[in-house]
Amino acid sequence: MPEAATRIEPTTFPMLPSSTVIGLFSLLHITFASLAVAFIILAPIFEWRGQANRFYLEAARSLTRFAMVTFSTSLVLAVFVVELLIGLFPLTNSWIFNRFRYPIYFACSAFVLGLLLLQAYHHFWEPIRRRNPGLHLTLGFGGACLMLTWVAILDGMGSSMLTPVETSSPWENLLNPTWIALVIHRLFGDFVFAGFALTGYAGWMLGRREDPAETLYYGSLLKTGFYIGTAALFIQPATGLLYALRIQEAVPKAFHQAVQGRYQPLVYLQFTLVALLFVENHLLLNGARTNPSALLSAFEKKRLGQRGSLWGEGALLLSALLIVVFAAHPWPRRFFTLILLALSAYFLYLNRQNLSTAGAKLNRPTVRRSAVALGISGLLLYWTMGIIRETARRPDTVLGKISLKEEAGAPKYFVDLRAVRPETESRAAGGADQVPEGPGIHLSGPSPPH
Amino acid sequence: MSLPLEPLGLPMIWGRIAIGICAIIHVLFASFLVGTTLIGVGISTVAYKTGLKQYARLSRMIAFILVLCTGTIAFMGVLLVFSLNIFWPRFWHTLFRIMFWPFLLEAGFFLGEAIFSYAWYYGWSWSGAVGLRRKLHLSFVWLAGGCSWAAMAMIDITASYMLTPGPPESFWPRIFNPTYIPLDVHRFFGNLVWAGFALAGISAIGSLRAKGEEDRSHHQWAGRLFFAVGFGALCAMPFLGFLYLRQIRYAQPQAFFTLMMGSRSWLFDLVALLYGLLVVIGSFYIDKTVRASETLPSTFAGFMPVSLWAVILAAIVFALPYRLEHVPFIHRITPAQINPLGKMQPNKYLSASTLVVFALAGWIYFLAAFRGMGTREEKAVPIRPDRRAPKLLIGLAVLSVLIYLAMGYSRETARAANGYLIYDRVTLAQEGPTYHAR
Repeated sequence: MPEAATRIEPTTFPMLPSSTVIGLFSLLHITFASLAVAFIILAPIFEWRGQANRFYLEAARSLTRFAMVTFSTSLVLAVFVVELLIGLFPLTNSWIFNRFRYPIYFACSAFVLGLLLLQAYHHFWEPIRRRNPGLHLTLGFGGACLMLTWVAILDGMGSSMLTPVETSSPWENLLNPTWIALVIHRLFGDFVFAGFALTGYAGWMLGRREDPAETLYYGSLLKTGFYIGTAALFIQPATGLLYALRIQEAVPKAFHQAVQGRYQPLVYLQFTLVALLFVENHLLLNGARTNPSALLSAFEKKRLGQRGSLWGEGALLLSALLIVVFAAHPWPRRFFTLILLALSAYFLYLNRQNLSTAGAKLNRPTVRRSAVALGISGLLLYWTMGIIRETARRPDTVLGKISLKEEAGAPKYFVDLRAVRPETESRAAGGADQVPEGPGIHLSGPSPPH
Repeated sequence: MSLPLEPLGLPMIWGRIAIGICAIIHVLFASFLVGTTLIGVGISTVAYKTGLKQYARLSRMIAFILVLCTGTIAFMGVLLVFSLNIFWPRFWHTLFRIMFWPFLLEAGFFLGEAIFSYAWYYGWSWSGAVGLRRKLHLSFVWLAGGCSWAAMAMIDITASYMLTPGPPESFWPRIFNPTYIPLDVHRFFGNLVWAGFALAGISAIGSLRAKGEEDRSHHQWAGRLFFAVGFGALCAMPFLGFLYLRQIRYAQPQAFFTLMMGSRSWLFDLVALLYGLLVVIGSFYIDKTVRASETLPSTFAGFMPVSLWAVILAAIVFALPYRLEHVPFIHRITPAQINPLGKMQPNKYLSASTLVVFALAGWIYFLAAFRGMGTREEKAVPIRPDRRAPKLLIGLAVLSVLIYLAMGYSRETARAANGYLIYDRVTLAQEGPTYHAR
């Protein structure tokens, strides 16, 4: 190793371990990015539905505005993550970008085009819609498809760090065992978080607004967000099972480490949050139909005669509790998740009429609090699942290829030419009169005074 | 331990082209953003102090442009970082290791710029409020301006270090390397030139496309205002450029030689040509607008014809190459290797001084006559539906893009032509294994 390279200390971040620093910025980034991805997909769908219902048109515009306003922040946070990766984990960074160079070109092209379409979709909303609503919808759907392409390729890079494949083709690196499963699981995860974030935001705003028109808008937004989040939540156990089975099949050790290893408390935290989402979901449903002041309306006497008996609700709570208890035991946990899912679906079916006609009824403390709790739990769950995936690889950064220990050393490729070309030192002292030759310069011909 | 890289299997020129394109697009947008934010600070402050509607409208336009550009630039930055990771990993990881904190701070300041710009645009209803809210709204653009300037200062540390590096192991010499401050000041004014002329060009397009008299009048006035900013900053550029080159001469004489007399000296001549053209076209614009002003200074009619001939002559002399052998394709015209008229001393110094003196005088005339052109709301009288003046502004905007690209390329190629990516630290040859297996 050249002498100068050894004189530079490896890059470190003060107070915090390198993984934690990258983790913090990644969590901040995915908070905005996951919402943006889901909103960009939902916006044109809402706009399409807005032909019959004005609410959806307003909601579509709000979702797009949020995605575009937070776009730069999210991107700069992504730059932070990449820059930290370059500085703190240079080997991993080199490996990823070298192995995925062609997919990255493709993803970047998709992103540029998507960005252009979405800028036009958002900033020229009215003019384009006035002239050609179909074109505007096409811009929205086109932008969403291109953003999905970008996200899918990034997931390919992320998944290959856990399940890398031995190949010399950059495209085949993308086709690692957990790629598709991760893309699907992440996409529905985005919808869970985005749906419940909308629910939480609408619940919070309902408590701050007294204007009937605004109450109606936020009531509708709460319902819509709730339906989106709940639908995705019901699908997520299946996509999660697919992803878990793929990991178990490809890298059993990593799966075992995630579920049974030193980071096991994170798994318990994850299933506690999953259980909370189901319970809060149920509380919101109950809140929409019963006494406005009751938080745990299931235990009120007056509800004993109503549909959805205490027994059913007790079973729902018990199964929620049991998925936490059996968090580290996959098959019993999956069994109780199925029961929880079935009961939740049953109660949603029973309450479908209440919710669809709720309107102003939703502006109640129980509903608002449950809605905000759903938003917070959704975010915490998203963060927890992101962390679990990363811990499964430790102490490797790319499983079986690059370890944290290797990253801690100073790279060899730093070369200080002054160490091998001492004459350049004298050049600075000689000033402008001396013009020595560099490695690529060949001075020739007359050099008259200038 | 070494980088776990597979050779790309491409000629290195492809990597150089890819990085060059990404860097040019990113720098062009980023410097426009910095300049526009700073101009936005000035205009919105005037709008706040005077309450004039024209300034408020102009601030809003600037805020919209910032919002449009910020996301694009952020992505261009991502693209540049990705490309450097792929095409020049050895150089990039070395540079990053040396410049870790400036890079992180640059990203942090850009984040601040994005947040405050968006807050400024999307909180526009506060601009009509009174008291604290209105002040807070104004503070957003000031904070955005401060952040964008700080981000530029951070990236200038890296840009100057690559040409005149200090010892890598000591922190402050790395930051305050010999060309850091001259480069930063040069870029500050350069950004005002580029953003001023670009905004003037946008206003000119607006005035050409305007359907109503009110719109045309507003865009004409905006074009003149932005021209005043760009042309004023342009007057300072030769002196600042001289200081910057002087530092390069003493700190990195090999690079200086390459640019002034070596293989890349034609780039300096190109920059000189573009600078001369900017002054000439700017002078024609001044002539056209000041003559139509209600407050035409009495000495202007005698001064301007002399000024126009002087700047045309000076621009020609300033652009003349000295080492003809390094000018592409010129050997087809003449076998001569030296052109004595292109000597730096005294010819180019004199011609540059002439350009600056007459440009400065023209600028002062322009400012003196500015009020009479309809700058105030109550005097927003269009000169006449004129299409020539806006076209001159569009021409200035195009030229400012070209000169920005030429100057950026000159600085970068001063290293690359001598085989360096970081002077005395990393060579192009060391990046060879990235492209082909040893």
